[in-house]
Amino acid sequence: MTATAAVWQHKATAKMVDDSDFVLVDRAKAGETEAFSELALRHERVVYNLAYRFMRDPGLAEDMAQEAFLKAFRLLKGFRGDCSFSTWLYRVTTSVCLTELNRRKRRGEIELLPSHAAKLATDQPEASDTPELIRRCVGQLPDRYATIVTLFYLQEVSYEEIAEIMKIPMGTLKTWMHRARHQLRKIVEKELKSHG
Amino acid sequence: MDDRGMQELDALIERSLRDEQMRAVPAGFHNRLNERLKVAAIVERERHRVRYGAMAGVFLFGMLGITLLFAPVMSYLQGWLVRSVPGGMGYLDYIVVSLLNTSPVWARTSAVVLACGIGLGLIVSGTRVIQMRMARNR
Repeated sequence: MTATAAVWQHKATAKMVDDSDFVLVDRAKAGETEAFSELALRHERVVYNLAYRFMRDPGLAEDMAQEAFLKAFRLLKGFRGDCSFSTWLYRVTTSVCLTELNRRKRRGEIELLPSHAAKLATDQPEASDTPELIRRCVGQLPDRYATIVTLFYLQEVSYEEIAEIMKIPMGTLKTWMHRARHQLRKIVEKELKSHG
Repeated sequence: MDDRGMQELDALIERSLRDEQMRAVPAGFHNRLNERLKVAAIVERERHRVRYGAMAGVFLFGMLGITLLFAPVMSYLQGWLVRSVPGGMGYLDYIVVSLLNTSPVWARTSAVVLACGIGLGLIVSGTRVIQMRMARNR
């Protein structure tokens, strides 16, 4: 199979999933909890990973993923279907995670510096694990930049989908991405220096 | 930092973020979610029921309040109608005849609007009751 054929097949499969998502959404809107459960089963892997990349803690990520699904269930009647269900669901997940992170920052429940977080975390990857340290630095970016960087590096989320999730034009997304990379470089540089 | 150093740092950041593997969903995640969904569905149903109940209460008490508020006005109007329309007719007759005397078109329109309003109110409340019963049975 050629690469083009594979891409077309992937797109066709994605469209079929989207179509059947809409059928399940309609059933869930009519009050069928099982239909929503089926939707959750389809998307739980990406939602959990998205939550993990924001929270950087498996327990918190599970809590946030569950909260995101429950919030989506409550807000489902407001889903008009002007984007795919997955796009809408990732938007809800992002919002839930950012709200929780900001709440924790306000209460001082989380450490603002990843170097401190890495020192304190016991069930997390080693503090000397440079890639993990860099991943934690994303959390220091402003919310919108942290969101686009997280979504960009999460598999299965396209550039177009990120623009749709953030409700911004493609040009703005590219500008934000450029600024986010610039800021991230500065943060990482500082963190690596502090780690020697 | 020089250009080369910056390029190396950019590459390191890119590699670190891109190479992060997708994690497996914790065991039992879906079952736990299903349990919470069931509870959420019940909560939503109850919330709807309370909301409809509250709306009906507000409507009824609103109507009662309006009636009490306009009772003195109606009483005055009644006196005025009794004075202006002679004869031993009932209250409704007074109004109808009085309105007919002043403006027959308006009187008929009012009667039609009143009948339609009552009918519409019955239909809306009936539909709400049926919807609530269906939601409860689901």
